[in-house]
Amino acid sequence: MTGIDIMSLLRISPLLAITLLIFVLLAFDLFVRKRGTAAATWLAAGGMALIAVGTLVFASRLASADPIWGGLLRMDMTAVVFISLISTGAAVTLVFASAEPRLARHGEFPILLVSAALGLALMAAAYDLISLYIAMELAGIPLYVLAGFLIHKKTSTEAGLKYFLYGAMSSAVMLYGFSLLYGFSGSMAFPAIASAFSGGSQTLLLCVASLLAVVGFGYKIAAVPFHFWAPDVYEGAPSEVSGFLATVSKAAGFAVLLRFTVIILPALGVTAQVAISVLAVLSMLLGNILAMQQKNAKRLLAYSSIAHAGYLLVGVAAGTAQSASAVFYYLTGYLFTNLAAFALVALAARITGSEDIESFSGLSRRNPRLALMFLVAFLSLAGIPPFAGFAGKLLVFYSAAQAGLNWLVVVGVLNSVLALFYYLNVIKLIYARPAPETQAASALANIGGVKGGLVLCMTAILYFGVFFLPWYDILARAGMMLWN
Amino acid sequence: MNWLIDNILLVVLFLPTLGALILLCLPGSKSRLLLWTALGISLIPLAFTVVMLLRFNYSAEGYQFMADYQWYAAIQSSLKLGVDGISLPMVLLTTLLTPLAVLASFKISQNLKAYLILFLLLETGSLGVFVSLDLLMFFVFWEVGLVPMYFLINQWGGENRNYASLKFILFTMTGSLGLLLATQLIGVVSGTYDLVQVVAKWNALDQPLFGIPIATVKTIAFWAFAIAFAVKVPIWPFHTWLPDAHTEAPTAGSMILAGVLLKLGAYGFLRFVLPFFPEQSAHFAGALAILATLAIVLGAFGAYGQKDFKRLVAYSSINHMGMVVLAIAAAAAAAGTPDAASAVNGSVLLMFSHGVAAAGMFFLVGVIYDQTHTRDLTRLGGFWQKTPVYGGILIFTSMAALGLPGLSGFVSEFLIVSGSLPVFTVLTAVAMLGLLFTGLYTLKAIRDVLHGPFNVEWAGHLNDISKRETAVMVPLMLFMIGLGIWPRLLLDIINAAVKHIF
Amino acid sequence: MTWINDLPILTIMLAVPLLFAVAILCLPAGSKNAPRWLALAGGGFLFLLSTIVFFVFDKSTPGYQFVDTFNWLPALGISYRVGVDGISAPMVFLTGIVLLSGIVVSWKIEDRPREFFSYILFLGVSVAGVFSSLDVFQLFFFLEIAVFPKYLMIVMWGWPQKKEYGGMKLTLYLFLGSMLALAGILAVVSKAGINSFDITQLLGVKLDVGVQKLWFPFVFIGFAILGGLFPFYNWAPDGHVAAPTAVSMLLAGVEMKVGVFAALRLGIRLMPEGAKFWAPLIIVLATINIVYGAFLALVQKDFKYIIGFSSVSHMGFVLLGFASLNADGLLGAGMQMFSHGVMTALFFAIVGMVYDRTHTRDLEQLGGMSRKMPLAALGFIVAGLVSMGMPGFSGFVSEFPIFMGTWQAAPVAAIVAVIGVVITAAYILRTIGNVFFGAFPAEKLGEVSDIPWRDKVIVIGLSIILIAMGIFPSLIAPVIEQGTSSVLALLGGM
Repeated sequence: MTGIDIMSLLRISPLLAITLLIFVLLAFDLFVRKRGTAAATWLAAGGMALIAVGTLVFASRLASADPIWGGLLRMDMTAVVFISLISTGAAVTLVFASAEPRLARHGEFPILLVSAALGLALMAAAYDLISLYIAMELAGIPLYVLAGFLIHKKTSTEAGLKYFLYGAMSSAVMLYGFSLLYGFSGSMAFPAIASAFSGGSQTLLLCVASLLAVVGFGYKIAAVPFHFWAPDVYEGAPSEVSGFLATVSKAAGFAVLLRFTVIILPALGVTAQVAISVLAVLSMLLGNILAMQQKNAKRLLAYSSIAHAGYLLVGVAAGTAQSASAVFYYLTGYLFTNLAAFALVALAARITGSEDIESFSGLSRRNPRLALMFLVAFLSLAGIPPFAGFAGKLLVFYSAAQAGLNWLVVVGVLNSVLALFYYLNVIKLIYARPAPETQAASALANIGGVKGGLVLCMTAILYFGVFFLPWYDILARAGMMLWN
Repeated sequence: MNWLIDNILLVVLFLPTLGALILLCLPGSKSRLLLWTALGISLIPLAFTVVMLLRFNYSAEGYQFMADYQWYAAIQSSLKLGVDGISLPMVLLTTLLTPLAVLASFKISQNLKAYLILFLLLETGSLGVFVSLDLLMFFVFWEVGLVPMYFLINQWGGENRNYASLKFILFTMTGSLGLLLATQLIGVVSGTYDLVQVVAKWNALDQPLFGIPIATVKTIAFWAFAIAFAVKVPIWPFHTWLPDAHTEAPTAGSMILAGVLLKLGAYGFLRFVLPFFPEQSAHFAGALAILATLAIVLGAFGAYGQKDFKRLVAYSSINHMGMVVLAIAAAAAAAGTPDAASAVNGSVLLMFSHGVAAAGMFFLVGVIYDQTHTRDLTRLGGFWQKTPVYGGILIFTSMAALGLPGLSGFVSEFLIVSGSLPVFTVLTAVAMLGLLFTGLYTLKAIRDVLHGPFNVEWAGHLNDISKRETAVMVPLMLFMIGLGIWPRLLLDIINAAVKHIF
Repeated sequence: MTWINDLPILTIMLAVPLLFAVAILCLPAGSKNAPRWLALAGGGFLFLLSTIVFFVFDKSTPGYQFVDTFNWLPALGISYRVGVDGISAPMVFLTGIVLLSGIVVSWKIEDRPREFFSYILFLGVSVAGVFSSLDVFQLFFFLEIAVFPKYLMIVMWGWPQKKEYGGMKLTLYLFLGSMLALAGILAVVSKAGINSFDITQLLGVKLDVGVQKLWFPFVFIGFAILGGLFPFYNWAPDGHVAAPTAVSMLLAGVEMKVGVFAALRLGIRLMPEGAKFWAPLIIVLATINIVYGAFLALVQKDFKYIIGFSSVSHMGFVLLGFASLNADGLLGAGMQMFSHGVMTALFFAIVGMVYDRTHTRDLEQLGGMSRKMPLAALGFIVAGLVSMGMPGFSGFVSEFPIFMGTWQAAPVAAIVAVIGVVITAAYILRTIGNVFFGAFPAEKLGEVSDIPWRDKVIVIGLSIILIAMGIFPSLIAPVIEQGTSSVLALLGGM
């Protein structure tokens, strides 16, 4: 066996750690765990949190731009950042899930989630078509199961099935695109593909192949026109899983997309920019317009996520190191914001007994702290300072302006106005309306963890809204490394 | 003491405002205290005016007692004060009539404090118009005088006061709009609002402005100024606010309105319109003269037809102010000739004389009204037997208003006619016919009030004129006869300015 | 008093009320008195410091004063940077005045006072922050912080008939305006090429004329929407009427000024060539504001709507002054911003006092209020005279230079705009007559009490400011001149 050098192992230590965690959880579930408690979930949460911090602290020192493991992976700063984000997201999701007995009771739940996290982490580091595909499938399959986890709830099963079917189909299309790329470049590795097409040759082919590949990526990030699964899946799946899908999964998808643009943008130039811009505009518009008409809170958040994918795509379209850093920053804030939003919706639904937005009326009088958190989360989603959503959005738009995409910025800001409408609508119901008399307040049990998770999210939303440093410097490094 | 003399105009101008502030701090229920304080304070500017009269330099050209205070340097406007022979008599008129108005108001019961404060503020506003040598300050004081008068009519007036006060303020403000715009224009073009500099710079303009020939611009500006002043004087046909305002105002308000405020308009013509727009004034003098004559004649007819004593006096103001404007028009048309000088001398003297006489007439109407609560001439009558002193005073005052030789009105009207006749012969002749009607309505009024059968309605309710009321009339009467016998009391001062300007 | 210049006075001025605002939110639910007093302390503190800033301001030195800097995101040139110049110092002072007045007149709020007083402090800090910002990012940061207090205060405490509609309309419209401006500013900042959001540095960059002409409308008109520029003024009447009294005072009094101020600072100053190109259009729109706004006020039957439309009309004067691009116009605009801010705060405060007691704002139902609340009537008259541009009051010394400036730029506009002055006189006098004079319809209105002493203090205070400024315009004009001189240098030097 050729020497597996320690360096390569150390570089992929986060991935190894996650894998180890999976085995630990398996063992825990088999031998140690008492039935019916959330212990496994807590363990998983703790583990992922440790990995998140550890990645940031240790793996970042080892980050380098060289591909490792035969070119399969590239543990650069981008990968480090994303793995850290993904782990954090997973940890928070698990904390939220610990309060939901239907999920936490089952030992399979954290295992599946961590497995998905592994796949997503791999996606962030993948530097080769094969490893990318494996990673996407590794991420996807546990997620299909998780979406349908509440087997007694019809909508959940429907969600799982829909997610699976969509996923399978887009995977297939994406794979076809990959095959075209391989066919004409002769290699699976990203750098090789990039240089094969860089001379301006075979532009049409690259276009077609890219389009096909983007189907897969677009599905992952739920951008228009690959978004049709999202509302139903987010609505049907357990809220915690929806939150995970809407944030962590999306983040990984963007990591992949960004790496992909590094390959194709130099070769295709303006065409690619325009194409991505079109996707961005469609996602923003459709997401916002349809969100306005939603009555179900989770569906509203689904469409809102689609719109946010649109804003992020603006940053992707810009195609610079600065815009990549901006996208990362946006995703950071968005992660905490949307996770909090889904958790809040779940909590509110438990209190009022319904997921309908109308049922949230007067929540501020019954539970002012909860209402305040709603306010923070939704304002951050709307992009209002001093919250993270504002900072991220501004950075993304600025980077787009720097890249000359001013008209796209105009569309983006106009969409923000549209979005404010439906976010404020929810806030209005919570704060300005009286509570419907027919509602009985139901007691909340076991929500210590949720409270803690929410506090963490709120702190993060506020923190990232006001203090750019030192996180932005790290992201700036990541952005530079992405493009070099 | 030196400071007082150096800043005498500032003191005269703002002492009433200071007085208003003092009154603000006094308790509103102590009427006697308020009245005597107001009276005392309003006599001080009068004293200072007399000082100025005594120190007036008859041979100097230009303005005297000048002072300049920083106000709004950012737009080149400052509080520049000064008087000459034309404005000093006006200042005297204002500082004289205000204490008399206060004295006349001893019977006001409702909201006395606000009432007196408004009068004092009104005094500052009117004085400001007369002593300002800065175009913008002039405008400021011009407008400032509107608000107190509006409230005086609106709150303490007769039955129709809402309509009258609103009409008064809207008419005057609308008229002033053109003045506002023209002031802005002049300020922008001349780069300053200092009167002396503006006259020089504005007259020196000969380039087209905003692409329009300068003559057209000046004509428009001329009419803007002219209309604003025409509303105030008032000249026919801008006079319709006057009868209502004068009739509905409380007695003292009418005194100031007729005595002082109308003069602001005429003063505006003399101080601004003629110096700024000599060619346009000469060009349009004929039109002005026609309107003035109409005011004389129609005012007289209007007065003759009145059944309301106060309204009759109001129309008489239109009648008399028409003479003033006729003279001004003549001066404009014949600038530089001795006729012009005569006309202006006469018009300023008439302004003073009418101020005194009209104030007196309105006061006398008020005296009757306080006792009978009516102004209806058909219900009054035969008062001569019951109130002989009042009757004597009434006859005296109306004769002065009428222009009887030996009283002030005659000298002024004589000068006006002598100045205007060569210039606007026909119109002056018509105006003199108007004078005939003046006599008619005056005599009619006297007959209706004093002579004829005594209306038994008033038996037992009628007292003769009181000591206080007489005290109001005496200074006025002194001026009426004094100026009638020895017009040089004021003519010298007036002429000192007129001979240089006109 | 140079030691004052060494203190980070602006930062303290912004931070302390902000801390108070957060502290109020942390009070136990149901506290009634603590929020009021804390808010009073916070608002009073801001008022005190803003007064110091205004009066210590050195009129003879050009440039910004009381500058604090802090590196925020150096990689992109974003910094925390505060400072005031001659135009923003009076605005900061105005914010202090209006915020304090708003808190005092809202003293008796019964429903959720904790949230109310916290939000109002947030709103005040936001506005003061915008005026003090010397960094573009920071400006938007402070600007948009106002979104949630604006909206929430209207929908939670506003006029029930209109609060949801008015609140949403106002918030969305204003957000639209600021977003358009944001797009424009981002374009400009990126084209400036100096990788900095610092306004003082951006001012030194000469942008390509084509860029200026393209993006000036985005920035200027986007911000001018916040000032109620025709045809984007519809949010103002509905929004102001729907809002509770203190919020109307703040929105009309200072928030509208924020818009035009930003239009000046980020629009005209950064893109002087663009400004010159678009000025004729702005002049036309502003003149329409003046006249049409006044006309709309004339036909209203609701007391508060009249004041709402009157604000639209008077902001037209500010915009006209700005668009004239000369010394007189800019001076007048700066004066008008201050004068109108105080005047409209006084107006809305008194409207609120009347409505709280009579529960109607219909002109035909009201009458004779001067007998019941004489000082309020007097205050309304003072504000009315200011609004009419009566000499002796601040409105005249503000509108006059604007007219002077307009004569130099577009004489026709000056003549048309004066029509607005007449119509204003008409509706003001009519309103005063209908509401405060005449007979008091006791059968319809019942018992009406006079205003409490603290409201009287506010009425007197605001009136004194309006009168003092009218009599002594040089109290404030030299300060504003310091600010406008740098703008003129930019315009003239091109």
